[in-house]
Amino acid sequence: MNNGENRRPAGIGTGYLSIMMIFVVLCLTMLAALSYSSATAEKKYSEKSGEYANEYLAADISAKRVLAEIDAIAAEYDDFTDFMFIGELEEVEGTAVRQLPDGVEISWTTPINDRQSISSAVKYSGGGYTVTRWKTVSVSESESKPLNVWSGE
Amino acid sequence: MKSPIKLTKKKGRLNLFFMEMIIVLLFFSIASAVILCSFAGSDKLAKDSRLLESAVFRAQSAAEIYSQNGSLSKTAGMLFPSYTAADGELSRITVPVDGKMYMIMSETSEECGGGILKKLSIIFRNNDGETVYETETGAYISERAVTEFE
Repeated sequence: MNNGENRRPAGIGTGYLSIMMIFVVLCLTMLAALSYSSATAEKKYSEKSGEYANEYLAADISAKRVLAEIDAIAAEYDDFTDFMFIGELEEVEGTAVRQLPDGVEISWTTPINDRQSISSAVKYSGGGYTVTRWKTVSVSESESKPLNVWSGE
Repeated sequence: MKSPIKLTKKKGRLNLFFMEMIIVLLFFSIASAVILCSFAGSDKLAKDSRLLESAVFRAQSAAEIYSQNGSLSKTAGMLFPSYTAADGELSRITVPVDGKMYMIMSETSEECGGGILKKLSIIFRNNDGETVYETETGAYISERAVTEFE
């Protein structure tokens, strides 16, 4: 007959505290690791974004320096179809000169990094110049080659 | 009257429980200290990256504006509507940003025959004086008539 003396004592037994503590510590460790890895990834992303902005702005200054060089040559001429002017422009490093009926178009490329570059072009005609192109292009991307998409036929 | 053998057994179990509790508390306090350090580190990293992101965004905006107008005071005026430009052109401006950092902009010019190549150095420093981000942008101001993108 059970008279109550053989029952287990009420309350927390030995070992429960250890199990609970291990569970809580594991949960906290996991949360801490997740928050740390997320913060690190965010920091890396911000740093990359900053680096890219730096690279782009440095390339932009270089492209503007080429424009300044071209403009300094153009300042000595009134007639932009003059062959002397075109000859001097061809000596500017990295530029391609195209003669037009009313003037000349000069284009050049400035690398941003190993994947991208700034493609620029200016057209000299009349009394001044027009910036016809100033855009970021991919190095592997050919500007003349269209994308291989379905044309609907 | 209860048996002295049973009393000793109960007391022994209680002692074991308290011993476990002390060990658990000790281990838990050490583990929490390490975990709290990790949380504090994550918080600092997140704050730093938010500051850097804000600095990069503002630097890009400043560069865009400056490359269009080539004027330091106009750039500062457009970036910070509360900024009141001083008389004449300044070559260096320091503006507080959100009370967390300072944006220092300084301008240099270079004569290039056909115009002026202007450079704007942008530096962000936090309240402790540490550099958060720095970059440089430029604007070419030609003496000729210029048309941007036909």
